[in-house]
Amino acid sequence: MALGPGTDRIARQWRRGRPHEAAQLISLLILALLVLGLASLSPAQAQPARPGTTATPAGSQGAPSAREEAPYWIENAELEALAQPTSGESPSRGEVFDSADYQHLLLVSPSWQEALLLTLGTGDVRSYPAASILGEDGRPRRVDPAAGTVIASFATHADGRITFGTTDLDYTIEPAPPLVGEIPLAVLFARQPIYARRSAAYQPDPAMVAKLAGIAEDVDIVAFFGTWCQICKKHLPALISTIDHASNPHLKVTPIAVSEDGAEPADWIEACGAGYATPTFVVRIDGEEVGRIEEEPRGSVEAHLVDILAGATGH
Amino acid sequence: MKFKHSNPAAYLLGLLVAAVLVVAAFTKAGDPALFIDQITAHGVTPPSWSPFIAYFFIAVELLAAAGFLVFIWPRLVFCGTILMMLVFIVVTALAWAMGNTNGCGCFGRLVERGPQSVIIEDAIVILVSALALWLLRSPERERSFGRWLVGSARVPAWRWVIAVPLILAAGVLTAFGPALPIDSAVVGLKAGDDLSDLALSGVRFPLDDGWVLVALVGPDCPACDAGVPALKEVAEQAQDLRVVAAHPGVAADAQAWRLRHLPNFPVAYQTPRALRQYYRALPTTFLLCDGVIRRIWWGRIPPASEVVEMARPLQPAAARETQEG
Repeated sequence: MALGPGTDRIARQWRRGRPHEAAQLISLLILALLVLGLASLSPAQAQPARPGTTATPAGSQGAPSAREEAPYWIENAELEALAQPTSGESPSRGEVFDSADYQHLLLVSPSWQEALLLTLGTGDVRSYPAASILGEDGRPRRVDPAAGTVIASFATHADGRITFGTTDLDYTIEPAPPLVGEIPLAVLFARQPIYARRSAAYQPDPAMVAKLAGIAEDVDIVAFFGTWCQICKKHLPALISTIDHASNPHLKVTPIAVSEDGAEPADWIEACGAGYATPTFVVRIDGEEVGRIEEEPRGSVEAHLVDILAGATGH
Repeated sequence: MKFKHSNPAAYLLGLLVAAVLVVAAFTKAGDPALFIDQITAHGVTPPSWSPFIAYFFIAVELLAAAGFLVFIWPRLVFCGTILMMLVFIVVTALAWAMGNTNGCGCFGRLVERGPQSVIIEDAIVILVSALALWLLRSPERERSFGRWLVGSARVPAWRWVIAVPLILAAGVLTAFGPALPIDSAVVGLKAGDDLSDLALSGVRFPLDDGWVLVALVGPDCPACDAGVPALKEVAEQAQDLRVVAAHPGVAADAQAWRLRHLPNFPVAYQTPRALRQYYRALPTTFLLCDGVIRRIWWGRIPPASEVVEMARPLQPAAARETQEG
């Protein structure tokens, strides 16, 4: 119907545009269906595995299940206790243990005469004769929190420290700085007594030890570990104890402590291509890698080591 | 200004790009703080720029998506999209060259994409946009680039009806998102989901055994500090429930938090990036039973009575029948 030149023009444009408009409407409908379909995806379908979703290490020797009784004292290698003499001499370090119920902290050190028990609920610090607390294996025994002599009250600080003092000593409990780089065993044992204890306690397979004792080539085992790494506290002491029992001057362990982000020490990490998974024991003969043990050994540490060296040396 | 604006192929390509931009904009608008953290983690720009960059790109993506839906000035919108993708590619390449392989955060928690995927997918968007520009070529030569960019034609009203609410919805989400009760939708977790794969360092018991209350806490979090007494009460009262706090960072950070608050429960830790996937704001508390989420308290730590009541041990069926009888 002619309503004038303007409407005729509009009508002609509309008729020309209609197929395209219809196509656009259909396209928009398809888009809406796509968006609705995406929105209706369940989280499990829509999301990939979240970062960090590997099995929880859950403890140094495997987590005690809810049905097993946990040891009363648990080593806390993430904390350290420093005793600073008021006379200005060098401070001494102590080890920190958590009670299983996280209500107490126990501070012990081979150089201290006393063991100190902090009751977190009350703020009290009680002292006990060290000899009555420490067992032959260096681990503390259970103590009666009500016994002992109250010697101080501790204070907490906003920067995450606990402090208290006696007449002769000022004590500080704080997060232990992580060890990074090449760490001599003596330093490792002093800073992290748990490694010394577990190395002394570990009994390697005598048959494997005998084979390692007979190795004639110069073997260097670069042991990448982390002081923050729970399974390292299991396998590195096993390696140390194994090499110690073999008493073979050709076998050497070089402990390399890695930062928690896996970036340091960069030179060692780059040289060995390791440090991303801890522990990693890189076995080298004359500077050349012949094998490595990553995280979990095949069988035991000593058996896996023997297997690697047998393949490399023919022994 | 005549051009083949009503080319349905060009419009369809615009809708495809719009779909991608809509999803990207909304997933980021739901949790801008996460996007800000991811921009900072990229390490390409100063951290102080991150909030501005985050909100800027959310707005640009949304406006571009609206522009495609309305199909007004389509050449301008396609060119803007190409420019935006080029910026993303350059930034991703720079971060990658610096050894940063973290995801870009372009789709929030929906998809975790490495730098290779980002570059390839953004390049595809550039190709799609370039194809659309070719389809929108003019039969006549435009007098200037500016006129070529803003070449347009009549826009039907129904397209504005779709685009305007979209912009308004995203604006409301961005501005008021943290206050809206949309955490489950944004984080993608709800009661009944399996959280047994939550990996925490420094905790000595499995999270998929029995009742476990996991409280995500952090530094500079007054609400976290205020909730510690309730967590202590739960740890003390509940016989069959274990409590664990999870702190972002390394062991030293978790221990420092522990020494500040002296909790009677363990303080675990996980990398900030990994832990960030489980919350929109701290504190966030999960009640798990055998690894399955029974309840989530978003942005708060619940009172002890509420947790203890929920975690009452189940009685055997015979005992329940006896009591009911």
